[in-house]
Amino acid sequence: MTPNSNEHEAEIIYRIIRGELNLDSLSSSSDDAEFAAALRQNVQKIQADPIFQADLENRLRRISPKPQKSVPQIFSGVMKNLAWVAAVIAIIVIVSWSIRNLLPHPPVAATAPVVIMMTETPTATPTPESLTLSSTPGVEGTPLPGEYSSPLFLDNKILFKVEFPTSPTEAKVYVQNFDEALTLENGLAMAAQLGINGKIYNIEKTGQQLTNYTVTDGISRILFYSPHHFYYVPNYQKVMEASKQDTPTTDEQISIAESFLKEHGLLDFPYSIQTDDSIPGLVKFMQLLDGRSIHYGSTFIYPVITMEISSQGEIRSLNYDLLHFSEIGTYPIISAEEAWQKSLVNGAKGIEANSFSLSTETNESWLREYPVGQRLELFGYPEILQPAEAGDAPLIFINNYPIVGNQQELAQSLDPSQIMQVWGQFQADDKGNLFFQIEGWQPSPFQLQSLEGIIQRQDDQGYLLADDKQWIIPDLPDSIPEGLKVYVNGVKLENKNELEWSSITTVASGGGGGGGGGFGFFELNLDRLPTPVPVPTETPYPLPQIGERFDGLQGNPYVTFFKNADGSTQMKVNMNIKPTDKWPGGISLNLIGDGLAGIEAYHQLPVRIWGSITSIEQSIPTMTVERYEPVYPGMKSQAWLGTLESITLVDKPVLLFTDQSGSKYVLNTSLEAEAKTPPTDVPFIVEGVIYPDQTYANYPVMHDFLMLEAQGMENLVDYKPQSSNPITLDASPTDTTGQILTVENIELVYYADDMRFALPDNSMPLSYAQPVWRFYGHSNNGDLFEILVQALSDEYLQ
Amino acid sequence: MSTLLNTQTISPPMDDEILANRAIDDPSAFSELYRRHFDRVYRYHIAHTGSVSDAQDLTAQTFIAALEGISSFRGDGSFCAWLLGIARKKLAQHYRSRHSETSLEQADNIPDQSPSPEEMTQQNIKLSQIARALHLVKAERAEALELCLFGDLTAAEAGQILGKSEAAIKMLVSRGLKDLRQKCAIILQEEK
Repeated sequence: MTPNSNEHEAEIIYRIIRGELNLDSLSSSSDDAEFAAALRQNVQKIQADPIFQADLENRLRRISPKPQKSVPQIFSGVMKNLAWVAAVIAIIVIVSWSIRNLLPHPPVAATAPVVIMMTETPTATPTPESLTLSSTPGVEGTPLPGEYSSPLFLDNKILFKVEFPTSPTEAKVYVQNFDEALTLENGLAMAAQLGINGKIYNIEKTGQQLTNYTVTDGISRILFYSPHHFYYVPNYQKVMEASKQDTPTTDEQISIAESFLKEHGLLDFPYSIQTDDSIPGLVKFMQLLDGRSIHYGSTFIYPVITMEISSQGEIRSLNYDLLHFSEIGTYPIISAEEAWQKSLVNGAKGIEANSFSLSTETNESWLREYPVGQRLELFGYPEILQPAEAGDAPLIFINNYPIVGNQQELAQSLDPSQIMQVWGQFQADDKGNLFFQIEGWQPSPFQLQSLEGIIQRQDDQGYLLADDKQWIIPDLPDSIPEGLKVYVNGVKLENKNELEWSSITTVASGGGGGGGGGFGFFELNLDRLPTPVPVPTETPYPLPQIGERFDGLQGNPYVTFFKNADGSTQMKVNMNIKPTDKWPGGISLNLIGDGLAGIEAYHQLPVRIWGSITSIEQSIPTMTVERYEPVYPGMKSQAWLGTLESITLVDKPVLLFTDQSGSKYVLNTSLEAEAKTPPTDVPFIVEGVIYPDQTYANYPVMHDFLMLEAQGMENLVDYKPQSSNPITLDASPTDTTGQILTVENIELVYYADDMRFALPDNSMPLSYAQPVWRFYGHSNNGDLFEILVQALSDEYLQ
Repeated sequence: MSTLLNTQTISPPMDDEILANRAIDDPSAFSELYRRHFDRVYRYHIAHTGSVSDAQDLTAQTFIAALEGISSFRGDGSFCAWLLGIARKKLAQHYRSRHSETSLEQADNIPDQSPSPEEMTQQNIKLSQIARALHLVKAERAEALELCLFGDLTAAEAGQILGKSEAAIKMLVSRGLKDLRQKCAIILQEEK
């Protein structure tokens, strides 16, 4: 086969794999092509358990991040679509940052009360080895005067409620050790320690030498990653159930959790306790190192144990991640004040920042209550646990209920990747735990759904209103109120207009979350090998003066409407501008003033403005506009259909667009930033404008606002251009811009890599737990924030 | 009207990149990204693991990591390529010891006994078997195939992750597919 035919065949296989080519369209097809088509068809059928999918989405909503934009992210965002424009605005914020912001401003008073969202119990009932938090955190004293601006929290002011601590001046450094290997023996021993009198089963890990195990008696279950890294659920049937009714008090939750852990010998390490008022029932036990808490990766302090307490005061789940450290020495550290000054330098490494707001709404979940001794059907993915010890039978579950029948036959017949319909009867043991006596099964003719809708009740019958259709929900729990927005998980029985459901979960409205930014940490250089520590450089942009007047300044306004919860909207106008002799002030400015009336009609189009600079915030000038005028009256954004190619013109790679009439244009975005190579075999829609007086290499330049693939499209008759209208965004309820952040605590903590999911691998570089200064507190909207600064002296960093 | 308008392609509600930018501040934006890309991440993981529980575990890890790192998404490549890059790292953490040389050598010494595509489909190869077969395919071919077939990435996007040209990715996909067909045959033969 020649190289060309190889490439031709590769192209065909690739396009079949991608679903871009059907076998029918080929004059002849090879076995490989047919195999590719069959494979593609099968892959498209792969569907995850929708309950898992919905549950994960809910979990993500509970932790979803709201970080400060990190500099690397903002700096490099350049795309050829609407996002490009948004990115330019973001770029502006950073590019025009100047060193003047790094200096403290005159003091201003904190205006809002601090909202305490998390409660700490720093002196948890001490075990013999339990340590209280060090004396460093929570230093009270005369608040530091001054107001700071941090490059990590743009558009925010930072105040201090505490003084800089003056100690310690040295700290220990540790290496993180892998846990001992998991074996049948230590797995069973830990299960016994937790009171599980069950068998041990393999958790399939294809292609992996390490084996994971689970131990279960059919009801309780423990899943191991290593002997000290496991997830335990006392009643696996109820793990999805979550109620907000009559939750025990915080003290009661702590008492229940702590008693359980002590009773089972799991609190033999120094710890502190943390609860979270916004997530009832959650109790966290934080592992301490040398009396200090530990951070993992970019998250807030990570607990070693997280326990969920049910509304009945029972343990719902226990997540346990005990980590092991070896001390390698004591090293000098910089002071908290030095660390703070470091954090103020834009671009400095060794700094991380996070912010976090918690959702005020938590999910509730209800499980269907099944009658005992009645013939019924279940739908779900079978879970098959193969015994790890010879002679034991496999265990099979559907929807977390153990299936009883001919276990060997079931294990061979059921496919865990296929939804099954099983029928039989529930039976109960003497504790009321259910198991399903199976009578028969078949592949499910229905797909599992996670149907979103509103609960309705009529004449003692429950319904779900979803997609304008009313579905019967048999056995709807009385505690689910009418009007509640929920996901109902199960299958649709279209002929009966009924949902055969297994669980119902509320739809959380979201809000809250956390995330991070920063410039990255240095590697440690504990041997003090000579390495230069890079010094960040600043490129200050000259700024216009407040009061300075500009006449006929040309740029492109970008208009955004922000919609508030009450339905009102606010217009925000930024102008993208090229620095010229006439305009020294960066590449963007904010526009305000009555003179902007009607400017939304010129969204992204070139205009000239007249006005004066009235303020400069965070190096972004704001101009109060007296009037404006379009540069090209009558110009409107248009859409063209055509093809794209990447070519080099005047020694520069650019994108050349050819419209349906054969006219060719150079795209402006490809002149301003390096462009990705587009596919040449699909049509594209490009929206933009053509400046009558601008060419590049004799081609007219198209200022492109939006570029879309238009597979199969032949004309633009039904196409509505999108880029001529400003976008409307919901005003974020947790907007952090313009906030006052109050540092309420300064402490030395440990920072370590997140090794919880790593496999033992001695070829990996050492993972250290190193001291970092942590400045943290709340913003006046209640969000938590923190800034972490590597505390080791510079000579130990590289 | 003669247009063959694919609304999914032509008029997406909002570009991934805009959503990713908004997701920094708006949890619902990340939820939307999650819904759009859940399938490709899950399929990618299940292709590699052949295990529902592993795939679920890795899918959760991938999205949690993406959520934690959403502010580091630079927007200079596609969001799905960035996401699958995270998925790939998560897999690597779990499967550092895969592709042992012994199994590869053994597999490569078995003569081509490929059944026909009809036989393949008639025998209804299970996912776990495809996953096993993928582990016998040379790593970079398997990766290209997994990203394009299960992760539904274009060759350009897969190239962004693997540091290769589009043409190289297409070649790897093609060769990976041939290998996969052969290795599936071996596995089917073994299990008979």
